[in-house]
Amino acid sequence: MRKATLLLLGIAGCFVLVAQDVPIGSDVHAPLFQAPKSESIASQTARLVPQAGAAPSAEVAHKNFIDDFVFAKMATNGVPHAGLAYDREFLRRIYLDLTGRIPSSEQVREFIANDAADKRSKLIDQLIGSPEFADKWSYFFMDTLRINGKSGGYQLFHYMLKQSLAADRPYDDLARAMMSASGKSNLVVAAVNPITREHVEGMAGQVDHGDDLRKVQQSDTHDELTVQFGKVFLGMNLSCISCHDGANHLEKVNVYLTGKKRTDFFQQAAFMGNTRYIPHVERTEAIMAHFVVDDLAPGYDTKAETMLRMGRLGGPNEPKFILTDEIAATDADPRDELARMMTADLQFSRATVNMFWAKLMGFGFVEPYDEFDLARQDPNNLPEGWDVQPSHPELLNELAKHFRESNYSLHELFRVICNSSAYQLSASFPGEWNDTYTKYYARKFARMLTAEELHDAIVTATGASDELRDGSRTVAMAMQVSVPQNKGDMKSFMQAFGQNNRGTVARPPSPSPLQPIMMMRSSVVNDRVAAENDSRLEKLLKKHASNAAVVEDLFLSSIARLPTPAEKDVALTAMAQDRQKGGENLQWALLNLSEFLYNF
Amino acid sequence: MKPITVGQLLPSRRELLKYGGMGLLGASVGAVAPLRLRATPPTDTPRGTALNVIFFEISGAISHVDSFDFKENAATQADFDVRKTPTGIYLPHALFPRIEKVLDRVAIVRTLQSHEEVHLRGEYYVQAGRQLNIAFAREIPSVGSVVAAELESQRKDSDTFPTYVSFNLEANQTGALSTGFLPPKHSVFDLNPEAALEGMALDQHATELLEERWRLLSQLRDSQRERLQSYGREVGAFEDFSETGKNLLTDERWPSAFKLTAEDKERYGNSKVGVSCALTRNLLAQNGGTRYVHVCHFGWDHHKEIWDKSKDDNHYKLIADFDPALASLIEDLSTTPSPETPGKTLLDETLVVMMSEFGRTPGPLNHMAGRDHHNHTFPALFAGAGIKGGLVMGETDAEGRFCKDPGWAVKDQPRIENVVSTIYSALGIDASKSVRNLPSGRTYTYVDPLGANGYISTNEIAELYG
Repeated sequence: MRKATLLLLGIAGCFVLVAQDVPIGSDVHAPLFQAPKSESIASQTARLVPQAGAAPSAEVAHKNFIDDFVFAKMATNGVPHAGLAYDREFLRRIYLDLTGRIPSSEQVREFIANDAADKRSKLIDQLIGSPEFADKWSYFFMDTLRINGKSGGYQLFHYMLKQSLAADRPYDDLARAMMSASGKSNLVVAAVNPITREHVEGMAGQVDHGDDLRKVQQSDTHDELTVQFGKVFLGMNLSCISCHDGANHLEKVNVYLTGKKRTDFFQQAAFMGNTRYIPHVERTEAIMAHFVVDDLAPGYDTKAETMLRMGRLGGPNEPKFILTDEIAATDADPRDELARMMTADLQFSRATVNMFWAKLMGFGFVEPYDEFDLARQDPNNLPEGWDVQPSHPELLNELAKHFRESNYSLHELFRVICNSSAYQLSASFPGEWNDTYTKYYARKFARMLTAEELHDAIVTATGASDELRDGSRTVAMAMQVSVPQNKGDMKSFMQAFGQNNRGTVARPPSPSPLQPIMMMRSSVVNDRVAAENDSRLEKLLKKHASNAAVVEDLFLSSIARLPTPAEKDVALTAMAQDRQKGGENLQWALLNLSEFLYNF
Repeated sequence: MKPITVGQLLPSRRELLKYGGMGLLGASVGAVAPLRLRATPPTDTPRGTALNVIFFEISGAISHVDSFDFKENAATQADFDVRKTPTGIYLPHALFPRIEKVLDRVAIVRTLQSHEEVHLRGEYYVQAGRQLNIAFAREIPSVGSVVAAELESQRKDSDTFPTYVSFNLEANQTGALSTGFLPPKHSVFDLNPEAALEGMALDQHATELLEERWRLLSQLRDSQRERLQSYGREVGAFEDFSETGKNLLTDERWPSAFKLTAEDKERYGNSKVGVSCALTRNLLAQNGGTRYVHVCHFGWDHHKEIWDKSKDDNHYKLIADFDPALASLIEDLSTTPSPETPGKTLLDETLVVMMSEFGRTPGPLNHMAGRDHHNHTFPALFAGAGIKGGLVMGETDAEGRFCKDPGWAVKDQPRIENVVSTIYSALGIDASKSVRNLPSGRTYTYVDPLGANGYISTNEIAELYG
């Protein structure tokens, strides 16, 4: 079955190229096992009209175990799904999802012209581990770990992340480094920066002598780190029990955490109890964002004063892992023990795969992806009155085991997800959509580009690049900076599209009227659509005497497809009177299409 | 003014999906539980004296003992020229020459307290009307978004302006909060004032170009509409917003609001905050639907060299921007006729609130010649919408360190929650409303009686009305 599908995919690809009048972009729901060649254009067009009543369910090949679970579940429950995405749909999606960039017109033409049956998986291999992949996912980790100027060594840490992502450093190893790093300076030891980022400012004032521990609220910092590590590495929200017991608070929210007490949190935080966060002092002044981190403190103080939480009322301070009650070995460094226990637990893998699945598929098996309720993971053992939490509990476990067995390879995790037919389904659903299909992943879900992706897509499409300062470096793309330092128009633009300020919590990207206004009025767009400063449009106007060639390239480089005949008419009419002004208007209009702003 | 029912606030399921997209509520796919309401009668009848609210945030914190709770101290500078104002308080005349003249329209609450000591959390508290709880922050809207949702049903067909506009909110540490559980259409419309002067004030050429490009864009969209339908509703939502945005840009009242005369700029003090205040006046005067404006004046965090004139950044400089900006705004509101009610001024129908997230340490300066964070007592200023001008409420000790007498019937120091209750009441919104069944299972109460530090009063500060 697999072979037949790939063959047909190849045929579909050829068809698009040979049939001159049919644009790459025509969205035809040709079932996979019906040779599209025999169809007339008219009948294909007719298929654009959503069918009432019975929803069709095109059969797709099972590429790996992901598909076995996803499609079996839909089959069992009679849920129809979309067909496989067309090549050009897949192409733009995979570029955006893996690298945060859109493909160039050359890359689109090349991919469509390629007849190889395995061209999709070849492209996936090529993109995973590329410098652009490292840019996108290091940016993601910088956001997730909230790395900003409060970590003095943020550029060093950013560099370490990019190296780790390019080289596929095992993720458990990277996570352990981030939990257990110590150093005389966070400007020298990269991995210590996520720790110094979470420091809670303590008493302001003069440093009496040497390093002054009081300038950081030590115990509050232990707590903040415990919450942060729980969120990022276990997908759990320990924030609630950092102030109070779960009982009488979380009954309706999280069954597992309802059974946990604040003292359990203290004992989890106690792994950090020996850690000290020391502002680096020169003469009598602490140097901004420069820290020493060591492990010479006497242990977690369960009665320490707090600036952020209700008063601590005491309790045991022996480090005890919240998931297993395992006690730290007395002869080992407690943070090494914490890092070992956290990453060895299957929940570490489950949380990790769920997070990346959510990023690639639109939402997690558990959603929000960092709100696991561990009492509701096993469909055969559920608390009374509750449903199982993950949409696909077995698949979640299988994917987690696959991740662990592949030595925590993020590359392999991306590869296995992106190669699945589940990931490669079309975003276009033939027939009547029913909201209950959503949790089955019965289609690919269109998502708006992130602020950084959008900025970079505008740069790629128009060929009008920017010089963004990032410390001593100058980069062209928003996804390449370590910490956003936008000013003026770019700042307004990025914020309207939900750029994370790495302060409180990330804003969910959601449409607002400010966004289209930015697209219509911001210099980020308007300066770039002009046929000047070596922009793509300027070059195209010089290169081609024919307006049709200019139109085709603008479509390809902006939305990765050719115009439909109707669109081509509109575009050529716009350029007929004044080809420069018409071209600029067309470039502007293309950037304002949903097809540009969304990843399908 | 009749308060609207709670039901009108709630987004319909269709709206959730349409506007929510893959956001918070859209993401809890298939499990979008219906939001439920608590149907208890309101405890206090909201006043409904205001059509608009201007919230002026002094972000980073002004030194209260050198300004609106003035106390002679070791660092009182010789050039302050402290004088007793006609309303009976002392104020450095040299620093606040303009505000001094409008104090007869301003009430001062001197003994507010906060429970936060760092900016990020303090600024969050001010914007959300509650302390930050990271566990639930994702579903908590800002006060401005709640107001936008509440006033939605009062919007007229001719209203094209966003209900909730802010200036420079992104410049503070918290940034602009999301709409939380509310649909994104109630989100803040945050503007950089200088960029907005350029970007929003379209001249004739820019308008014509936009219309020309819009025609082309519409033709392309028309040819795709049917095809795009199969991609799901959230994709269409962007085009709806695009339409809203275009209607706004080409409503001549909007670009008019972003035109400032040289004289205006001069009088408002030629600064970012001055431009923000002048634009705030214009937005309200145009009466295009904007009802809640949050002006963020940032940069006040002077732990160092607070009164050092040799430095670029100090309290002298910020006060020099603040004084003409805020004074001109109050002056202009009080002379601009209300576009809604004949015989009234804009100030009569606009509640203006000014405050920091906390105060600064009183007494002598610290070792860096600055002042640090101080949350035990700090002032807030109120004007308009029936507020009794010249009123001074509460008293602090000789140093300005702690509250001596809150002067409040509740017998406690008012909190930020009470400022928010005051805002809701003025707008005719019932502050005791709650929305149950948020995605986390929690209940959201407009002003939560259960603060992070135990049960608190949720009363408005009724004394402000005299």
